[in-house]
Amino acid sequence: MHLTLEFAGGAELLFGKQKKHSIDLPENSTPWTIRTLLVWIRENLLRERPELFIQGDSVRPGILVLINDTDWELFDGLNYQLKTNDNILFVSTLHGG
Amino acid sequence: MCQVNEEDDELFQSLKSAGNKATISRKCMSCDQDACVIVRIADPMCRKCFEEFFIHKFRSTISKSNIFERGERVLLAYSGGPSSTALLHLIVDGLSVNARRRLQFQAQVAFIDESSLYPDSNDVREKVIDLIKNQLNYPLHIVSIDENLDNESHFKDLLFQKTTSMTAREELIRRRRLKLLFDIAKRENCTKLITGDNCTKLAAQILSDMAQGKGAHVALECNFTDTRNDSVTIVRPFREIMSKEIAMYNRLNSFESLQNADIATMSGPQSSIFKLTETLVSDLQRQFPSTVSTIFRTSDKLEKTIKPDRCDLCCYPLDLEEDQSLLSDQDRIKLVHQLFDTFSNKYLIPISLLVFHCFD
Repeated sequence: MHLTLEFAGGAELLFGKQKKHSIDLPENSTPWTIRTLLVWIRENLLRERPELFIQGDSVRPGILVLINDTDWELFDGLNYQLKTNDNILFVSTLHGG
Repeated sequence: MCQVNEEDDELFQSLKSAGNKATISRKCMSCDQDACVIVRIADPMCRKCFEEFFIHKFRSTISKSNIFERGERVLLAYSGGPSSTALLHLIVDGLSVNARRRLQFQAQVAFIDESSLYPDSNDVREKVIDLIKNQLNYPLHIVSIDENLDNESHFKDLLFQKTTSMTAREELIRRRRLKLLFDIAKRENCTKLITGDNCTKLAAQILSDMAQGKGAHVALECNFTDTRNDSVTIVRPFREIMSKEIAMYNRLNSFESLQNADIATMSGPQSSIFKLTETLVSDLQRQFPSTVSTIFRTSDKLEKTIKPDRCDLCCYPLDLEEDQSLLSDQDRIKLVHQLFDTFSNKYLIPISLLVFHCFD
């Protein structure tokens, strides 16, 4: 499944300073959600300091998640089921990224 | 002493479940279009209504206060971060000829170049020049954080040699940055300094300042107008806007922030007192969406006292008597000179007293 991930507001510093990532998720028996995407990101994309991006099974508080430019809180947050070509943006709203 | 009242407990539970967001409508609260963002505690809004809400909040904060005079020279502190980027665009829009109820002041922009402190950001200066001068066509004043220190003492060296904790470094940079902004404002005859402090940051700042023994100044720090400096008033038009709203506004308008790093970037939530309080505030905010506004409103109620004697470093009113100074006069003058002298002495505030609370 093809997705576009974007990191901004300083979050890109944890991903080799690259803001936009085009990714293909492998087929999965259960549908992909933000929750499982975060696990995938942690294993495949995160370069350093995972604790600055992930806390528990969610993102660190202060990181805003937008699904196709819409607040993830409007889509069940972690339980949102990903669709092909979704754009997921992670913006750090913390001071200094 | 601490009794859990059943009524409070119910309120607590309902707050908590509001935090879990089980049932938030996906329609905009005012126009029934599909919502794209949740603002305040649980108000869904569509893109159009959100932008109107955001701009209105900014404009009404300014117009209610009625503090800008027609033609007044105003300095906008632009750091390149998300808040000041949004602020810059709002002010440019408000000053444009086509604006409804046009802003009436004359704006100039100041950028404090801190790239010598974090080497990864060396092209920020060029990007800022391109944006402000070439695209927006506003007068721009750039001062390096190192400016006019003695040749043998770079601010960076001082910072890393004389201080050991991240808290001290952050605080020192914060004071020096503000001092430079005041100096630019005075040099350019600006009587107001607009900063992009948002209420999420201010809430963390308030707790961090209190933890550092600066509780006496908290009320000024988060006030809309901050008169600690007699000739330049700090104005904070974003003091009621959340960092989430700013991030959303920037995203919807494709405004890119040019500088996301600061000295504490990548250093983790326990690296400084500010980082710690910021983590606390954002952790709580996720569970209880009224956290930021509660902290903010509480400190807003504190008494704002301006006494005539001011600190040399942060310009705040002193809470010590002159004979309680912890340093000798000579040491104090030398120290202030080393850290904060900029341009020429003509712009310096007469040195009165150093307050020890400025250091850890």
